[in-house]
Amino acid sequence: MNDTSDFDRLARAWLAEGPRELSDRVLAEALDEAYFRGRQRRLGVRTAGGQPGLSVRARFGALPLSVGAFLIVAIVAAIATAAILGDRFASPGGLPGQAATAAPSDDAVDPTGWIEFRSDRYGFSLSHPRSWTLTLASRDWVWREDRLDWMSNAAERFAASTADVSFAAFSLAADAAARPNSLSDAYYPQDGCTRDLVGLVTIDGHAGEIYRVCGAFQAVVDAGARSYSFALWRTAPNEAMPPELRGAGPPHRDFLSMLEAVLATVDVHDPVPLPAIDTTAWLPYRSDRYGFSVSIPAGWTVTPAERDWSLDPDRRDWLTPAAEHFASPAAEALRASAWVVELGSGESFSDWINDFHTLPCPGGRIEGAIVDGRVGNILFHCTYHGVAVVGNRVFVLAIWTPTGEEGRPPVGATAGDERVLPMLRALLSTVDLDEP
Amino acid sequence: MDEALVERARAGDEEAFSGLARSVGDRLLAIAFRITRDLGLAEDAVQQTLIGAWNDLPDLRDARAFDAWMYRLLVHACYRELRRNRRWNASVRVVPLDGRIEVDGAVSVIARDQLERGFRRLPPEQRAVFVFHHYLGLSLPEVADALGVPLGTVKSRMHYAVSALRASLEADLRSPIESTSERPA
Repeated sequence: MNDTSDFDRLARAWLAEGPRELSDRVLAEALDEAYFRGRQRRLGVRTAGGQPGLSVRARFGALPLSVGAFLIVAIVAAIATAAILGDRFASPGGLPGQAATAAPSDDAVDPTGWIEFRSDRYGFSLSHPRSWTLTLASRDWVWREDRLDWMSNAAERFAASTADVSFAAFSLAADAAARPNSLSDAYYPQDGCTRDLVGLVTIDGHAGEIYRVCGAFQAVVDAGARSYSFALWRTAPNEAMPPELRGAGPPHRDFLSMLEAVLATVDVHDPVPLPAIDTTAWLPYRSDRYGFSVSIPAGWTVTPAERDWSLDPDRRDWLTPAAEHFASPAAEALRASAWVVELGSGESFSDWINDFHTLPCPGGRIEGAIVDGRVGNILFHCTYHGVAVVGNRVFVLAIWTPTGEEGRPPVGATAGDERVLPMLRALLSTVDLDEP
Repeated sequence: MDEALVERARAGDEEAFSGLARSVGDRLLAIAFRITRDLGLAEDAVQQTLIGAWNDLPDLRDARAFDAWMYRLLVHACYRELRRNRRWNASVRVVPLDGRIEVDGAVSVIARDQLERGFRRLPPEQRAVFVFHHYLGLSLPEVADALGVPLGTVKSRMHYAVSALRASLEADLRSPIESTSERPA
């Protein structure tokens, strides 16, 4: 061992042993952490989470309950202090576009380079990190069925491409949501969840609140005629349960920083009606049996009803021969059926619809609809139904994607795909109902 | 290194930075492991390096210096990880065998263990110089440039590192391996 070349050779051979490949998991964690936090402000005070030497895994681990409780207490104390001092946090008259919480984070996230997204459906725009992917809402958010569904397809949803962060936003007409407080009161009311006021916020100049709900951070704000919800939480793989119900600890403070950063980019505006489908070239179909006419797109096929519709057995049979059936070409894969039923003596529409909606599917009212000049509704029960009442007769037009068994709607689905609702609106706009 | 990619990443393009990270990740891990001798610490050091690189990339003036800049970030991340873990990083695997060091061909189990024990006694700064020279194959002036320290300092660190490792090998040849109670790194 006196020979230098021997030592060098030995050292090189020893150093040659060992791992040479960085795992995808480690790389993904690092990139997610980097993009999630954004580029930090140079002069900011770093929190413990940003101290050198603390691993990404450690920082994303569950925050000790005592620390979480301390944070909440500190934040609430800050709110009180802000209110007493009359500073900017509690002021509803903040600058448009400025987000200010009672406990501004030291780890402010820099939105430079983010991508702008505009939701015409819900009337807002915001910017989000480039690593987030967007899934557009395929229908309007409905109180009864969506408030328990974290992954509802009625919200504009974003997910970080490399990790487990989800963000969802939607708005409701204020009369549907009542006040923002009630929106948060009733949102995610699952047993076992906690709800705490984290701070006050101004979103595009409108006063709102940030809550910690079920382990997520949710901002709610009333702006003009609409109430808005913006929620951020940590997602478990293939798991829609909210964090607290999964046994996860309090959300990491970084999530609050990220929500603040997104909220600072929000602009609210009036929703823009989605472009209507052009029905001018559609072909009329007349149902003498039921006394209505409807236009359908060229290329659709019609299967006329063979008998009158009755609650039993037809409410359980999507393909019943008692309905007028319409089907798009196979490649487009939409089906619709329509029928008219007379209410029984003393039977109200509500009675009938309750009897009709007995299948084990989510249900609720989607929106109002005008059917041949009459006020009707679009309801959801396994799929979308347009309904209107003329005298003692109920007109029903159902539409679905035939992806379930034997061309039925998918069992247990909360909605069809995003083509279904616009097509139903378009079909309803062409309906003529005979006078009783 | 694709300088255009570096420029895009510097301007905030996450996709470009992800590409850069993928291209240097394996190399960073290999170096970090050889300095820290611990996979967990090495992975943490690489993560800290990548996070720091994304944050500080706007400050990098010359895109051509990206690789060297990353090495320097990595080395300092390794220093932090080693110092943070020095209290409980004392255990070294002991192989209760006696025998000669085989300098021809593969490293023997005994030699590997002796080098491991000796290396873990080295301060982080000496480890980095040793790895950059013997693993990356850089000349001492290149090591000085890569680590941003004077050449004389590099020579001094290399001298002490080699001396300590050679002493470790020779001492271990003279006496059987008995305990794991050496001073932690």
